[in-house]
Amino acid sequence: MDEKKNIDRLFQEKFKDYEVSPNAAVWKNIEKQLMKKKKRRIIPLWLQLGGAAAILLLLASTGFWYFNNDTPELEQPDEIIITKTDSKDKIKDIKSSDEVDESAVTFEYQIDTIEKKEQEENSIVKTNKSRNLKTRDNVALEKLTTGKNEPKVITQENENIAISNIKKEISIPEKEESTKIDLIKKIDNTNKDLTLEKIVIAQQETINDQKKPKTDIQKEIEKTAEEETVLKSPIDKWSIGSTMAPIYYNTLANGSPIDPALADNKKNGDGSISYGLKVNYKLSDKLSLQSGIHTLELGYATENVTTLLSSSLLGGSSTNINTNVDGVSIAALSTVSQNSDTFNQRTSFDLSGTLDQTLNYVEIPVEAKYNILHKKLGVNLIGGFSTYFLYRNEVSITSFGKTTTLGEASNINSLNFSGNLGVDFDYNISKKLYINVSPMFKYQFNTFSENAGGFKPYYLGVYTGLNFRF
Amino acid sequence: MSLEELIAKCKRKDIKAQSQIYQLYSGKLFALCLKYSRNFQEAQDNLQNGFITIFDKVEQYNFKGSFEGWLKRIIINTALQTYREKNVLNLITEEIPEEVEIEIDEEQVSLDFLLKLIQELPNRYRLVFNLYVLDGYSHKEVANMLNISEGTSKSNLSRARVILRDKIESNQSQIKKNEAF
Repeated sequence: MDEKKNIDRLFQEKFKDYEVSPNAAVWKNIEKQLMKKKKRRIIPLWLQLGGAAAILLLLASTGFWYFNNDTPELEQPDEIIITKTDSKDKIKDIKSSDEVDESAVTFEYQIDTIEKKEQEENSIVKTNKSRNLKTRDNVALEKLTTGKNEPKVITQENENIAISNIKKEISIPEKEESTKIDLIKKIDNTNKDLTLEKIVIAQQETINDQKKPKTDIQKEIEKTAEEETVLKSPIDKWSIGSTMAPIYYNTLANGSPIDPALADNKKNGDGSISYGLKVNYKLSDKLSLQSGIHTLELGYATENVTTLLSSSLLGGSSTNINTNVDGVSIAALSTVSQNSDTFNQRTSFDLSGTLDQTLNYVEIPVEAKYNILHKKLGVNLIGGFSTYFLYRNEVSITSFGKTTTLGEASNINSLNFSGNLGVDFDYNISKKLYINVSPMFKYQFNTFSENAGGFKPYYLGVYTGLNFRF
Repeated sequence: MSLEELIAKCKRKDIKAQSQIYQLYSGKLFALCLKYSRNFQEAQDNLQNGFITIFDKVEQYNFKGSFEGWLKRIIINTALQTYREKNVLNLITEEIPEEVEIEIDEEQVSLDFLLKLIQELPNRYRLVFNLYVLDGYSHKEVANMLNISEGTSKSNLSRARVILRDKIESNQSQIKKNEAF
């Protein structure tokens, strides 16, 4: 006997259903370690709760925006449901009504018989469409009827000509009801092969609109099938990442939030960099929510400004600054130099140059992200809002390269908001990692509590980041 | 509750579901540990560490392939890990011994005895024998898992067989001697 086989088989058979209960202490140890891990998970759990809260907030705020975007895709399911139940009755109803309708139905009927393979829903959509868009069907019908006599028309005519022809045609059939019905019947009965071709041509040429819903439905079906398969396999719902964005700050309108006297001075937005963390939660394949925390410095410079030590000189016009030094006011250099009296009274302590206003915020955005392209490169639309918490507020003047802090602006809200709009491009490096670049436009609502002098600040940022899914 | 539901709950770190999974599989998996370990204590350690890994990584189980197979792979990997860390796998000389024929009276050998023989094998012989003979891995796979060559895997297996055969033989002759008295 072969030794190898004997030994192997002996062990294989003996150990086939080998089971040994481990000591109860083993489970106790495992349990202890698992509990330890659970405790460590408390922080992520908090994050999850926070995420849920953010979702609720966002749903409330984006609901309005979402439901106002009435797309045909949203309406279609309703149409299908309504017509599905009694589509055949409708065809009968239409048949018994006026001639134009009947022709429409006949046309539909033809298509239905030809495209038996097509799913019921599709044909229902067609009948539905035919009812709503009678002229459209007449375009096709017109082509069928004229097509019999003048086949060239079908292939050569473009849509516009066809539509203009219908208008003529519509009046003719109404007078010659019987002849038209006969024609249709002839087409239907004697010339099936020919009509089949013509209908196909007519369809391709003129009723693209009818095809669209079909393909949409097919897409929908595929999509839901995809979603089902996706649901079966585990998806990473969360992602977290770092972001960095160059910020460009500017105003939509002239005006100065510091002093009305500076309204006409030239202003330049300062560039800065915003850093932050981003958390993203996937609600569905298409829609996700994102929040996070960013640092933000917004600053702009007002050129050609001078300080005046004695505010009395200009009647104390400096309105919106709590200055560090009593009696200091600011004015546009141009107005001061025009008034030679005040110009001459300027002291050597007065500074002329660029007035900088800098605001530092912590920004917490809550945004919805809607996916429009889902490939290796994903494209998304982003809409939402941000809440800003002011933590630094400074007005300074730079004169001959030297910056002197004047004080802080008195009209800045410590809490303000912005509306955010943007596009987002995601590039997947691996299943877990992706880079995103998203140019955003953020319009600030209530930066200033009062006397903003028509200043309407916004900023642009190109947010780039590396994100990790989990 | 179906197994899939149970696994899904495990993914959510539900301690009750984890306990049930343990109840369901600990017997089979502990037997597996016993085969791959030198003794009872080591087997228990491996089972414990293996289950911690299982509950840690259960999120990665995507319902493809049998769950039991997935569990076994983790347990086996855990068992192998202890030897990888200790780096004791490369201490054995590699020469392919001659094959000798032998007859074994299967009725005479107990499972406990066979387990003891397996556990007494030198580490790498034991691992190769378990992987190839008892758990159905190919020599190529065994070589990969243990970071050795296929030839080494084959020669280790032959040596393991010889050792096992010798021990069973001597045991049987011992029994016969005892019967003779």
